[in-house]
Amino acid sequence: MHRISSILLALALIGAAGAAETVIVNAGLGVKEVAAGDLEGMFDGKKANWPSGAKVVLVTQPESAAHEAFLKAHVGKSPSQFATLWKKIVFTGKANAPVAVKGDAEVVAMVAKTPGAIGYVSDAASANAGVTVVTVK
Amino acid sequence: MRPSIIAPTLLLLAAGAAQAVEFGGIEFHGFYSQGYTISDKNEWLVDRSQHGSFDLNDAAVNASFDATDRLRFAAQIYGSDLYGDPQMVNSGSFDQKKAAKVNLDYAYGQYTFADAIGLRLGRVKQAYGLYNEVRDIDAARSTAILPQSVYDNRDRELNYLVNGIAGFGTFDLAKAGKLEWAGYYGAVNIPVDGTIAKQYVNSDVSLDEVSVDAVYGGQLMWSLPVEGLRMGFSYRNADNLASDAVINAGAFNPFQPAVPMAVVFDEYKYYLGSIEYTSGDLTLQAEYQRVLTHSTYTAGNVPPFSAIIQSFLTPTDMDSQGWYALASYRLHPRVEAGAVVAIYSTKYDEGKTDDWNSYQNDFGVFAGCNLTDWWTLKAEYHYVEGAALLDAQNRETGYFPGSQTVSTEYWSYFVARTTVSF
Repeated sequence: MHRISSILLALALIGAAGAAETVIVNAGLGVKEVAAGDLEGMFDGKKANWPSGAKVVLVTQPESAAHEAFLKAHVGKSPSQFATLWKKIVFTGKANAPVAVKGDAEVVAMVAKTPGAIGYVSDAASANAGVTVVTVK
Repeated sequence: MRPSIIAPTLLLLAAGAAQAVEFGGIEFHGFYSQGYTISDKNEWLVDRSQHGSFDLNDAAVNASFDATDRLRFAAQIYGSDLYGDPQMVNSGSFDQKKAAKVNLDYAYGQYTFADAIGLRLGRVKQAYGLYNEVRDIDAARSTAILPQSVYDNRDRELNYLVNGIAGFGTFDLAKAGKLEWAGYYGAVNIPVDGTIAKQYVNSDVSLDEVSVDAVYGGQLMWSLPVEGLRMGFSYRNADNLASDAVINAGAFNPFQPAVPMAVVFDEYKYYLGSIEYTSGDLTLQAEYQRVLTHSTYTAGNVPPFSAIIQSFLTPTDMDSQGWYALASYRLHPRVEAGAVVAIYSTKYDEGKTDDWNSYQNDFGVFAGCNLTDWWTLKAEYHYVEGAALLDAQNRETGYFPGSQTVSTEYWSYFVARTTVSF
């Protein structure tokens, strides 16, 4: 019984670790939650606008561990697949490339100052008044 | 390639590295790709592949600007030695020396009404299969060249862009996945000395003009609820693809003057099925295409008893098929390897045949490395049976009796390619 409990606890921790990335959006959007399908659509270039009509601006931190974890959990792609997808989009002119920055602090700063921006951070505590932490439902 | 293409591209690359360059709200991207190809027999992809060639190269720079949240403008210029200006000579063959050609690739305004509907107006790409819209983008695929059984470079002038309108969108099907749609309609300019012409022209036939009334088509691509799996269907139609040709009849009868001939394809339809599955580091892809054509011929100055020329004037149906299957595996975050089989036949229902100019079976292995996020290096080797996808003058010296087959049935080629992009 003790062994089963340990396994269940370990699985729970693994699950929590996979969902650790916090999604943030520009506070001006007034958005509190985002559907999982919409989040995937934004990051794979198929959803260009928020319900309000504002243009979606993606902010990523490709050199971080959070990048790989976020893509795997919410977009279903590896970093290389994500990079290839966006080369296809950019070189057909369909959308602007995601804005790439380094670290949580830069993500928060970029999302806070960019209307329509959405990004992710590894530590929810890094969020500030310019961004809103959203629930992925 | 002309230094005028290379210099600004390299300068931009040096300045931009992996990131886009942005000035005043206009975002710039670009790439430069240089390949080397060599074949042991048959001229393939480039004009002098048997000697080894660096003509497999291209470069592009694009600019895009969001005027509003929903209105966007984008344009790209593209240059390549591969699609350069061959100089057709009177005999109907092509000069081997080409000059790189820089073209306006795409240029359009795009308005997104909703996720499910958007429009593009201008010079737009044809949505067709997994790769047609990105057929020039080496960094967007695993292989150095696309499977020619489906993405035949020789048809690029007809199958890549239209000057007209395109629609696009994505429907969220909830638990059933997502459905992307795309459609296009427009005009296409086909140069008389381009790659389409080279499919037909040899010492017996030359072309004066090639035109098409309109090209239109569409695509549905369904992302299934199974993660990583999508499948689609594409269709394309070319309306009244026509050419004014000249039969150089003097080749078989010195007293016979050249015969002008008009060729009209009143049917030219493409059908393509696509499927792709990605799981972790594994990618599997397959596409199957059929092309149906019906052509009629009219000619003047036809000698009444010339059975040979009369044979040119018979309405012709063609039903070709091509497919490929590709598997690639990412051995390391920056290293990928795989294999591809690409099969093509000019006759859909033809069984085993000895005419190797009517089929081409290509078996390839490839490997690639992302040296950085913006610099890729690839190499691949292919063993080939058949020669159906070679240009006309590389298959046979002519169409009339007495012409000689110049292609070889069993052959191989090697391609290496490096691409930098920002």
